[in-house]
Amino acid sequence: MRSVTVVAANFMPQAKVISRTQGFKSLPLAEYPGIVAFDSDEVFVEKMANVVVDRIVEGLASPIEVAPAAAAPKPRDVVFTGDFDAVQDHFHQNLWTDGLPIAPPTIQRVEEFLRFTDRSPDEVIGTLLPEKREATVWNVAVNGVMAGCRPEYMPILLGIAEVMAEPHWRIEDAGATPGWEPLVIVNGPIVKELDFNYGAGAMRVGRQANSSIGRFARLYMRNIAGLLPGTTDKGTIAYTFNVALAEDEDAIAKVGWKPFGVERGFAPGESVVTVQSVMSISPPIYVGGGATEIAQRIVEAWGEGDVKYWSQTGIMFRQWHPLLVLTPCIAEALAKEGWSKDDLKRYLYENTKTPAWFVEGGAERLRPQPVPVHGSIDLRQLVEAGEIPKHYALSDDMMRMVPVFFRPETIGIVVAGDAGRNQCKGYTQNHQQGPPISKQLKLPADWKELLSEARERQAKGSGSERCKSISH
Amino acid sequence: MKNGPTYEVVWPLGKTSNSAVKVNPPVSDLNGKTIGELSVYLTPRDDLMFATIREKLRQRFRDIRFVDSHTFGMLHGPEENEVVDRLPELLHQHGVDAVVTGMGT
Repeated sequence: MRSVTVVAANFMPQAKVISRTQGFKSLPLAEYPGIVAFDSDEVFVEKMANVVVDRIVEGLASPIEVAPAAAAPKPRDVVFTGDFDAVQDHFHQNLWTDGLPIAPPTIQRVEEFLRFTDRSPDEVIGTLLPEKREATVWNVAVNGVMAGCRPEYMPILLGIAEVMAEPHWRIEDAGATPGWEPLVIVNGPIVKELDFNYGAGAMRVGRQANSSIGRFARLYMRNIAGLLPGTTDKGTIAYTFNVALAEDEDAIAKVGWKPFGVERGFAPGESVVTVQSVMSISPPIYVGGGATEIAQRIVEAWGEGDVKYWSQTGIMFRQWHPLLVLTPCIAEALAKEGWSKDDLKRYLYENTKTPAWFVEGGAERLRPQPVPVHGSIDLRQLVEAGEIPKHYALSDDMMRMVPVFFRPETIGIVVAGDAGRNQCKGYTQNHQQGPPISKQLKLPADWKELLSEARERQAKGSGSERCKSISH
Repeated sequence: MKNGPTYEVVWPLGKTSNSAVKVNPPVSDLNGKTIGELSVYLTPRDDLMFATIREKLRQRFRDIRFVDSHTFGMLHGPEENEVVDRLPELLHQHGVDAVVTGMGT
C-alpha cells in the first residue's frame, strides 16, 4: 500500500522532517499552495482540482527511498574541543542550544550529575518523538549541565524525562500550533532542600532551581524530542519556557489544605515532580472579600476568558487540566470560610458557563457564521455515551448554558507567590496534549550526604552585600 | 585566538531508534485501484477536499474506487489511538491500494 499526504504549504518543512524521522528520505507530499483558512471555498476547490490532484497522482507514482541510518557518537565520545566561545558557536551551529549560552558539557561535569542518581547512565528512559531519540540517564545529565542546573537537581531532571517519555503525555504533539510549554511543578521536602522560590516572583527567572530546571525541560524537548521551531515545532507564536513552580507547603499546612502532590496521589512528605502543558496564562487576577466573591472574580477573569475560549477542545478530547496558582493569603481567606481546594474547584465548574453552540461549534465557530452552528462535537451524543454529565444536554437549545471546565476534579490548584498579595493566575492546559503526569523522585541512597556536600560547596560562593541584604 | 580554558564536550542528543521500514512499489495507474481517505477533521474543509479529489480522479481513472474517511474514524481526537490501532485491519478489509491524507490547515 502507498500513501500521499496533502500538506498546507506552511507545514511542508515539518512534513519533510517527519518523513526523515520515520526512516524515509522523503514521503510523497502534495503541497497545497497558500493558507487554507484565507481561501474561499471556490478558491480552495480550484486549487485542489487544478494543483493538488496532479501532485497526488504524481506522489503515488513516485519511488520512495529509505534514509540511511545516522551515525551517533557514543556517550563519552568528545565531539568538540575548544574554548568557551568556540563551544557556544559549535552548539549554536548544530542547533543543540536554545539560543542562550550553555554550560559546556564536559565528561567531568556530567559525572558530577550522575553522582546524584543510583541509576545506570546507559539506562534508556524512553524514546521521544518526533525525532525518536533515546532519552537516557546520561543525556539527561548532559542537558542538565547545559541548562545551568546544579548536580543535585538530577532526581528532578530524571523525573521530568520520565514524564516526557510517557506515551500518553504525547510529546509528539508538543510542536502543535497552539505553542504550549511544559510546566514543571515540584512538591515535597525537595522544595526546600533545593532552595526553590515559592514566594514572591515564584514564576520569574532568578532562583537557580526554578530557572534552570524550567530551562532544562524545554532544552530536553528540543534536543531529544527534536522539537525545533519552524519545522517539527509549529508553535505559531508560542512563548518562552516556564520556570519550575514550587508549592508553598508551609502555607498549605497552615490552612489545612492538601498539597498538589498529595492531590496527585502521593503520600505527604514524598517529593514529587509533575509536568503538564500550559497553553496560555491569564492576566493577574486580584481578588478580595469573602470566599464567594473571590471565586466569582476568578470565574469572570479566567473562566470566562481563556478557559471558555478553549473549552471546545477540552470537552472534545474528554480531558482537560487547567491549573490555578493562588497566593497564600487567598488560600487563607477561602479556608477561613471553610473552603477547601475541592470547594473552589466545584464553584469554578458550576459557575463558569457558555452557550452550548460555542462548545459544539469547533472549527466552524472560528469562521463567520450568521447563526450558531453545530460543529465537530455533539454534546447530546457524549451524554448518551456516558462520557459527560447529563446537564450538558438538558435540552436541544443551542443557547442553553453548559459548564466550560470539563470536570471539577481535573482543575489543579497550587499555592505559591507573594504570601501577602491577593493575586492569582490561571494556566490553561491543552487537553490530551501534555496532561499532568507525576513522578515520585528517586533519590540516591546517600542523598543526605551528597546534599550536605553540595550545600557546603554552594555556601562558599555566598556572602556578598546583596546576599546579606536579601533573605530568600 | 584562544579565550580561556579549553573544554572537551560530549554530544547532547540521543541516538535515534528507527526500526527497519518497508517500501511498497509506486502505484502508477490508479485505474481499478481503491483509495482510502484519512482525515483529521480539524477543519470544516475536509469533506470538501475529499469530494474534490474524488471528482477529479474519477474523471481521469474511470474504475477508481474510494473508501470514505468516515469509515476509518477521526485521526485527531479523543479516540485517535484506537483509530490508528485498527487502521491496518480496516485498510486491509476494504482492499485499499493507496491512502490520501492531509496535514496542516
